[in-house]
Amino acid sequence: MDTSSLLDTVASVALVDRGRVQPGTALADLGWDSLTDVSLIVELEVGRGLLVQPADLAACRTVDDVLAVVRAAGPTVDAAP
Amino acid sequence: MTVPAPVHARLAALSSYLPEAVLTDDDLVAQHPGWDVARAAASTGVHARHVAAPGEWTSHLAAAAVRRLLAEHDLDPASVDALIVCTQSPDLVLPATACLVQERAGLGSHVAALDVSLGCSGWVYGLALARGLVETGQAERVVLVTADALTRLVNPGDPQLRVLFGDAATAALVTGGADGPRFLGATFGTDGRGVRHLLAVNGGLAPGEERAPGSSPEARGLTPSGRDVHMDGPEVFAFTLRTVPGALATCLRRAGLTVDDVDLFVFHQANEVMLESLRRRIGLPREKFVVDLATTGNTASSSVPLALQAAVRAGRAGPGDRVALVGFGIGYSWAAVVVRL
Repeated sequence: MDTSSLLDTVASVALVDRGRVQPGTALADLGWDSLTDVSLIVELEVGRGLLVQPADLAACRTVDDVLAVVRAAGPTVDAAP
Repeated sequence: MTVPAPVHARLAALSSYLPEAVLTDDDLVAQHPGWDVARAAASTGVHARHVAAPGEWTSHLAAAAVRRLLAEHDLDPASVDALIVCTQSPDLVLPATACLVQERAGLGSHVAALDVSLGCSGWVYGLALARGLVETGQAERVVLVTADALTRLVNPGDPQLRVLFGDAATAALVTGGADGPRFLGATFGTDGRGVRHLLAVNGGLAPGEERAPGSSPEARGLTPSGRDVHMDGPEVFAFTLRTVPGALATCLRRAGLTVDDVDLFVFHQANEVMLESLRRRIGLPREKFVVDLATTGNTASSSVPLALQAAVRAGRAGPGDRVALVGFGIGYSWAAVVVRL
């Protein structure tokens, strides 16, 4: 996933204009909260089959941090037998 | 010597009780100015929640549901010989809420009564226990109750959880007389590593903060109310997406069924976004998938029976149909079974 596409996704889940989202943007300035984390998890896991760790997302402070977490995400696997 | 025919349990009747008072989105907007209620309501799909009145406790909700079950289905209270109450908001630390409900609902003293302390997976577990009592001949007519005054466990200053949760009770009758197996593919699971992500931090004997650092009301900038639930939404969401599809697949495999063989899927009504995410992830058709929490909220162990009752009343399922019931959440705990109505 290229950076531009990732920034589109970040803007989409944060419900803000794409122009407000740059790699160095602070998540707090986008009104980012736990609901936004949920939206991103859904977009990545259901939409793209990527597994992200919620604790890693919770530690993010900037858009760059989010991009790093997404780039490190592996394919989703089911946990239950 | 004649070998007796095996007893097959069935879900014979289902009733519910919702407290009269309703907390609307407008009420929450008024009580939490500056907080985006509309966004949270849109995300959860919840726009109204029933709330237990002052002085109305879990045993009152439970007994009301039992009385409705007896009245709506013309059942003799004396014919009930076991009572299972699933709750995580008991009136008292001890004794079991089932003892209070037995007395309040006017059931006989011959009744076996016990509590099950489970949340969103609780009804599916309770069905398994009720079925076990019936099919082993230890009881003939089991009343399975789910009841929670969950809103009492939510900090008044926590609008995210106030949006989500509602109070409710249901009562079901499980008895014998089925012509064959009616509970198929029962599947259960537990992962205690999830305790720290969804728990009542205080109000118990041990400090929940030790299991879940940062979850106390003080750490979240709230004034403690004595019984404060903490939920890490993203963690619980991720657990659900990773666990429920596999649990359902196992249940169907054990039952020898496919998605096409099931007439209706009733999952724990956690929140609308979660349900839609699970539906897409598993690939279930929308017309077979129940989403019904807009006016009740997330009612923990009552959500599956409430949604099933509404679906049956709406004609979405009826006698002979196969319905997949899936509960998942606090614990983490999960359970799935296909019930033939």
